[in-house]
Amino acid sequence: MDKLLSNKEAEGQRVFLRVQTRLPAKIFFEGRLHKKVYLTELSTTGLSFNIKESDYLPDLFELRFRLRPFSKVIKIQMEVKNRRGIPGGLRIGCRFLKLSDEDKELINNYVCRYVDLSGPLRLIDIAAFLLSIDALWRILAYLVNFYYGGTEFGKSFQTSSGQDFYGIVLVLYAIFSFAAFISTDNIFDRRGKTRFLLRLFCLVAAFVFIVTKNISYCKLHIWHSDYLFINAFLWTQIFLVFYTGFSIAVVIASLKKINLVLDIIGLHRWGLSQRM
Amino acid sequence: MKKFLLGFIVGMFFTGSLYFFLQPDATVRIKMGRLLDRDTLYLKNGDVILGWIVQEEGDKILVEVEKGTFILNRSECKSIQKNTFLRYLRELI
Repeated sequence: MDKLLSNKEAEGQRVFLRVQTRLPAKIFFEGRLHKKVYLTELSTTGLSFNIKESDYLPDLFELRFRLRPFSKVIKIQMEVKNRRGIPGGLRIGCRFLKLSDEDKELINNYVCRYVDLSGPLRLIDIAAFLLSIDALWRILAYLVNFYYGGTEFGKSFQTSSGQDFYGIVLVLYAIFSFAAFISTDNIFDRRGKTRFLLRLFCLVAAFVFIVTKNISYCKLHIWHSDYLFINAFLWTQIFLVFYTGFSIAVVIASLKKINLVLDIIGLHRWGLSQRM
Repeated sequence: MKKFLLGFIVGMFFTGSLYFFLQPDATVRIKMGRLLDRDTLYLKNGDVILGWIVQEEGDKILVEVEKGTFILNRSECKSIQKNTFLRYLRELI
């Protein structure tokens, strides 16, 4: 029996990780080639594709496709789970009925490879951690300066103005760095996307701070220092700027993929909570 | 895990800070102060002296270094930077 679902109902049934794709596939029915289609989504338990509204499609059929050109042909017995109306046709959602272990592993690897977020997440994890250490160091240095600033030699010379508010700026920098480091401990939960965006915002704010500081180092000509360890510190600052900038760029480049995965995970959780 | 790691680092930081600022004999504070107070003298012959300017009288400068003290003619100095490390610290934070 055909099951026509609304968009919301169909989305409610997306309970597994899946990736968008455009793989060519062949539908076989009663041992004969019935139709050629393009897969639109692939998950570890099912897939979907589009057909014209006038096309006939049985509820049970065999699907054959390759995950990559010249790779092994995967043959799966499929069952139609839903038929959703889309502009110009129907989107068919199917689940796997019979699938060999080898084919299952191939599909799992394919899906996991495209939903793997560990690369960009690890990059911002490390960047946020390094920024947290940098923030702690700066606060310690600020406290030391504050302490000796009250002594005789500390009062013997003045530096640039605006130091009164600098402590607040440093605390904000530390808060942003810490928040960027810990805010996404549970990124894969219902509020994962909000947390992820919050983390990105915190990281960008901390990044702006260290870029500003590095520009001020250049203006103050600290780079001309005769002290090796001060130059070493400045090199680590340059590394921090480039590493954090690179991490942010990678995350922004992967934003679409991250958004998709977090959407799917959000729907997965939402679907489970609706059933409970 | 991340919260634990950050908590540990921040805890170490606060413990170290409390030790530094509240220790009764002030040994570490004095050593740190002496390091920050250090002056740098750039001589005309290219040498650089790291020490503490104890006294300045006319053309003579009494300089203390790790091994003792000596008197230097101001005319031998190209430039003098006082409180070098405190200056750098203020500019770096």
